[in-house]
Amino acid sequence: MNTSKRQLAMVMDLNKCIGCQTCTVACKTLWTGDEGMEHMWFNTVNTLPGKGTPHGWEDMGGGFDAEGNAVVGHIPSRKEFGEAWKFDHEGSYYGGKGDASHLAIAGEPPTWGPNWDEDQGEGEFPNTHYFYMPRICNHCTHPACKEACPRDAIDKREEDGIVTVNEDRCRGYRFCQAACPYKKIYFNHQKKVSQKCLFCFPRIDNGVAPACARQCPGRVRFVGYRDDPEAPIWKLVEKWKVALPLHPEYGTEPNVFYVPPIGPLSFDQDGDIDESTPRIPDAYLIRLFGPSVLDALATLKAEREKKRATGESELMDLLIAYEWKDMFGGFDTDPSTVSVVKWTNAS
Amino acid sequence: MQSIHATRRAFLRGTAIGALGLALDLKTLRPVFADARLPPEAREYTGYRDVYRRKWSWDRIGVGTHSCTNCASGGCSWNLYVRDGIVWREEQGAPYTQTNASVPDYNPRGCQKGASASALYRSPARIRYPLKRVGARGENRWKRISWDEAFDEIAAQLVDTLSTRGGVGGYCENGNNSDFGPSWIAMVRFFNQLGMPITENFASTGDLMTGATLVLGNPVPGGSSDDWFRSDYFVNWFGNPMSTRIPDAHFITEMRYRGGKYVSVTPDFNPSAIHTDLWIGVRPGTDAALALAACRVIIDEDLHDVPYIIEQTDLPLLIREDTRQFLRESDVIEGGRRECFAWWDGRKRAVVWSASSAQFEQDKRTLKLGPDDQVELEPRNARVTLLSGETVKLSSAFTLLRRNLEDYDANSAARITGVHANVIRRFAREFANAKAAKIYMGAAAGKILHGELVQRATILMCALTGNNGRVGGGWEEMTFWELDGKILSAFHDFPSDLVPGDMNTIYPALMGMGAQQAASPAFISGSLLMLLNGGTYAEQLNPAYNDPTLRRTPEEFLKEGIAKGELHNVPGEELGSPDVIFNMFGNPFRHRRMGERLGRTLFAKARLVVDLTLRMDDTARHSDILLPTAGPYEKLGFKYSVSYPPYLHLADKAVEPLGEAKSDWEILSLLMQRVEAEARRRGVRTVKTYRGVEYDLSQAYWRFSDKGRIGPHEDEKFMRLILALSPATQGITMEELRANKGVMRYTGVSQMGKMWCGTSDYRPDEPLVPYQDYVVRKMPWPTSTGRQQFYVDHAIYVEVGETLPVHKQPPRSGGDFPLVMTCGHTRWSVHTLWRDVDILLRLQRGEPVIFVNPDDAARRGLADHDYAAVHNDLGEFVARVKLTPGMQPGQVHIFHAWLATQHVGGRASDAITPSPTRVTNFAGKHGHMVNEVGWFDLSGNDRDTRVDLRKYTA
Amino acid sequence: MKATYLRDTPLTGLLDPFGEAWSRVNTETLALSGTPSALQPTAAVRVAFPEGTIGAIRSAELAVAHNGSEIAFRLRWADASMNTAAAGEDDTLFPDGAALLFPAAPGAPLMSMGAPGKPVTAWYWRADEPDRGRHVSAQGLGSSDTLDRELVKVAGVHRDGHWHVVIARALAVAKGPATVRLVPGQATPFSLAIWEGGHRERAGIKAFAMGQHDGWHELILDPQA
Repeated sequence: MNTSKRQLAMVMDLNKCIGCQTCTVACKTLWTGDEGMEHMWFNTVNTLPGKGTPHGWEDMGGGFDAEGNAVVGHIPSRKEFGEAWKFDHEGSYYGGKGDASHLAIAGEPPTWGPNWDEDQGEGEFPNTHYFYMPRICNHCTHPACKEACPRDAIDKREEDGIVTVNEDRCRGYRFCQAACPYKKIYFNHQKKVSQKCLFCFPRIDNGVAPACARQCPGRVRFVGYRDDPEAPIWKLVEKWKVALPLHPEYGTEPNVFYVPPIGPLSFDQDGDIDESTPRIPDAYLIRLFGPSVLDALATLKAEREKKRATGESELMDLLIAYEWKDMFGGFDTDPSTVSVVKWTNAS
Repeated sequence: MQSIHATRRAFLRGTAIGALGLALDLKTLRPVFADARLPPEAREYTGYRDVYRRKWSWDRIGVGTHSCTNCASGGCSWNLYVRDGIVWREEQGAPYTQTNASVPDYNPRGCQKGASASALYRSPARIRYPLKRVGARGENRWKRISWDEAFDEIAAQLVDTLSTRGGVGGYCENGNNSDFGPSWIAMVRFFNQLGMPITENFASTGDLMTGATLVLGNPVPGGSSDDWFRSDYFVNWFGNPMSTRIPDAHFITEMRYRGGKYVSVTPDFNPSAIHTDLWIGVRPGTDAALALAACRVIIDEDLHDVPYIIEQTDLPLLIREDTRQFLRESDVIEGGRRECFAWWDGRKRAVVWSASSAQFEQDKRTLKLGPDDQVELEPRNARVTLLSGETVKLSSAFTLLRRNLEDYDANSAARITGVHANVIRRFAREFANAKAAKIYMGAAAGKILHGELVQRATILMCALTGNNGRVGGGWEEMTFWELDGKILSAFHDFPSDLVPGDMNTIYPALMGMGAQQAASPAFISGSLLMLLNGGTYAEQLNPAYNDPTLRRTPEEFLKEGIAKGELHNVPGEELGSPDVIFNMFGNPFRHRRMGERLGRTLFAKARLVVDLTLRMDDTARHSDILLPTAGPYEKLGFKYSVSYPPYLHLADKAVEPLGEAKSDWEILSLLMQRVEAEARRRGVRTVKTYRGVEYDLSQAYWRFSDKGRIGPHEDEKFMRLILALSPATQGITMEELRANKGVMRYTGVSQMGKMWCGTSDYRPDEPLVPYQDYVVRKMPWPTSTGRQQFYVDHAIYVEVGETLPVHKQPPRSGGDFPLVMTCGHTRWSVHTLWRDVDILLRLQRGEPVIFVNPDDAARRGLADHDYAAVHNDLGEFVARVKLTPGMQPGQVHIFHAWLATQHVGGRASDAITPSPTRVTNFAGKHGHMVNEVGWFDLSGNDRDTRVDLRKYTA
Repeated sequence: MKATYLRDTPLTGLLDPFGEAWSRVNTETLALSGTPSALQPTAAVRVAFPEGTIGAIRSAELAVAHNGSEIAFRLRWADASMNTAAAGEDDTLFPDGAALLFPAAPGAPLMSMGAPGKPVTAWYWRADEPDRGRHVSAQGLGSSDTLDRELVKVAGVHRDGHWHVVIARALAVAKGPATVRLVPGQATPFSLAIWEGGHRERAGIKAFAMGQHDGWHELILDPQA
């Protein structure tokens, strides 16, 4: 099925993600600053359990059923993603109204945004639970977006499997948005084309890890080719099997994998520690990552204990990433050393 | 499986269309063509790729960081990508080399604020030209003026005031968004040379850990954050490092993968709880009870480290049972030393004066015990005969502690804290049994009324278990990597006279700073200024908002402290009527509790309020002239330096200032030239400083500019002076820094002694662990007893029952309301900076929110995102409700530093936080407990504030 | 269908859908039917629009006139919702659209918008750019390509629950790929298509007019008298 010779992938360790959104902002300032792109966040981080971005995306369809048939999908609206709210800075700072005016959001009060349910989570105090889920385009092996496009306007690069919207071919039909079960495609209402995460291919082409990965202060993200047995991606996904795709049942074979969250101890009705009930319900994690998530968690816990007792564990050492550059599967070139097209020439 | 596209093409080309019989027979009907050429089929479109390639392009790359930002993470290296003279984007430089192979490296320090700093620095809030108010204060009506107009008006007003009232006629409000370079130096030199005081707000914001000052002789002890990785039991207490220490948080998550456990003690299930092994949801403000119960378990179960306690703490020292005071040498020997304390020798059956005592013979001072010493930790029947001839019974502090802990059995503590007794026991045992246990204390521990007690109780846990000074262990908050050269450049009259690198001139100069500071106006207590002159007196001293067990009113304690002269730097009544107020590096309308009252008090009295500011904020709105300061990418500076990353960070000037903005050094240089010129024009010479010392105003610029050697555009000279005069940066040059992405590892630590991180020898290839001087080298701690000092015998502490750490119920601050409003630093801003940046607001809810437990909200008829009026005795503010099941029932939480202008109604949460005074903060002149700024000062607080919520409709 | 010759009527007169000139031209009603779902290029499109769900607009009124140098088609169809993709509208809907279709090669199939090597050309109007036409060619569904944005002149007005759209072009045009030439006195095959944006019709999801000549309607241009 995969027409690409090699496939780039990312592993995100949810036990290290602190929800700081540096990835989100790094991506924003690099790619989606233009007019028409204000509401776009190719990279998002949401608090789970939660409704995420766009609101309720897991119930919006798309992808494939167990037989490989395309599933009807919903086109997410800007409201569901969250609009790029405008603020009346001028009026607030210079409008002469004193305390009577405040830095309000212009227009109708919003009801959703890209990170609206931040830090809310679920469960009843004290057994509340949540964790952070960063998402980019999954650069799927079986990309529902590409397969949905009646214009063949989505490219999957032969050399590394990066999926991009061919904005020259795209006519804004938005079948890709409906088909992507992860709802990671946005629509540019000015240019009338779909736009999405490009796995920072201009950086990749220069040996530089994507901005979201290289700028992640939590050191959450591993980057590299899936088939490189020396690099962390292969070890985490294939060898140790602790990194799992999100919603594998969507049938698109994502190339972003997650190390599942371990979660703190929970309490019984008296407030004493309840060792038998995980704080994050297994059923919830299974719903996200499939049943093998329990094996992954068991492996993580066993290796953590081994590291504690003996000081040795290949898996824990990988996840610790003593040397940050080792996370990037060779895509560790310093961007400031890369010579790209000069802005002055480009403008 | 076959490609869908292949299938589709075959389908189109042949069978399906044929089967549908749609092939056109045009025998009778023929189209005519202007051109029968086919359009190019399936054009190869690749132009879009070039569009994205061009997006990732730049003219050049600068290096820098966010120098004038009170970001306590301590610095991050950024590459600044410049297009057409504007920083359009920044990305971490990530130049940090691993300390050694056993710990993860520091890359790629940074956070979302840093990654959007260029958006802040060119945001609509940025002041681009000097502005003069044309409406009423706070009304937001302005006109653009020239720098000349601004300087002329300000200089005239300054000379008016200085020539009539002297330095007492005005002051500078100083916030914490300063650098460790020319900007801060500019402020200190300017006001110091003019003889006007500057407020110090470390305590006013509640960052000053007076409990740590008492116990450790260091208000903010700490080490480097890679030492966190080496912990076996990392306890976050009161903090939220996953949100507030973003660049360092990975050392915690990676510590877990090393096999260490991570525990968090906070009332709500906050972002730092989610990655824990155990989260302890203590009732707000009951933390001391939890810590003391843990201490009780540790001692009861013999998990305490007796040799460490005997050597390193005051717990074996003797207390007189009659007075509850330490036994002092002066009690028993004629002419004996007051700061000399004793332990009981079990062999000699007699008191022995501890060689650690502050007034012990200086050359013999040590924590090391002699081979024959037999310190009894809990002597029975210890007695001593006083000078009076009277014999008194003595108990060790440890005996009193044991007695004290009787109140804190696990079951009693469970009732106070809401934490199950088994959880308390398990926590205590795990803590004590860990190879290295660390308590990372959040700054919020300074921001409740009884935070001092929480600090003392939690440090006690570390001391009982011998963790203070252990690799990967010990109590820490946040400390500075002080650059002594910065202090010298600011306070020394002529720093260029010092010989760079020659410690023989540098050390005496540094030692002389103390005396010079005492004579110069320098810093006054911002919290005392606010209390006495800011219009908050009644609320801050309201007994109903304070500890109900006090037998006197807080005001009586204050008056006593002033009368006895125990409070230093008390801003008197005269300063309460300033003619001129400057504001730099901060937003006191926000950072002071009830700060908005400045508009009715100090600001209302001033003829002229000048704000040197990056952007419009609550204080700027209430000022008269706004002077636009250059942003960190537009001027030279060193990042405010914190020990978590042991690296010096250069903020280089990457681009020209926006609009007409100027660096702080240039602004104040030019202004000082005008002041001098105006003084000469008027023939004004001798004027008096705030402290009454006479000086020559007509020479002000000559002195300010270091005899004219450092001109308005020569701020780089200060950068070089700092490097050359700081023990932490010996051997580092500007050239090397620039070649190393503006980042180099420190080469040493400050020699400023008792404070900050200089409590250990520093090795560049090892994480910094505090307290090595005391624990390894056995030098006495910088306390009266020379030990970690848990017993405080100042009369106030005896009176209020706090000679040893105890738990006191949180006060009803703001009135008898059912909800406790906690507060904390947010991941989304550095105080008010970044609060109003659009792209970050869009990642929140765009306006202020208050986190509420769903049950508490439901009981008040509040739904998610409703506006709530949050109210108490002091009034109300309005915020959106955010339903959060992780909030403890009875607790509501608002992250700090929303600008007042972001709230409906123009009031922020600070307006209703009365910050009751902690009466022990009025103590002083007692051994190392000296009441002075940055050491032991009146601490602001807000996290006991009681409120209720009701639905708000406009 | 006949294109009435209107002497001395300038293009501006023809481009006004309510212009006096149109009172002199016969209007015919054409029945429209949806493109078959089975023809849609991808499975995702087919599941989104199963058979029977395509083609929300079932008929359109058409009048055609030429003045010897330009030809204009006035379309009118009932559409209670006006979808222009403007701010404030449901942004997951699509702009309404209409096109005149012509085979640009012998044997070009209508229903599939041409086939490889057998392009169909379209004069295309869309409600998000109501005053700007496009000259489009396609060689099968999903292959449409805008060749030119000047050649085709359009005007569109939504009034009284109807779209009133004029699509016009010069009769004699410079050479260009897939460009049909319309000659007074001669017949030409044509059809029209309408996209109801409120029904999320876009791309090959549209209604078109099925004619007698292997799908195409016949248009005879009045000779210049």
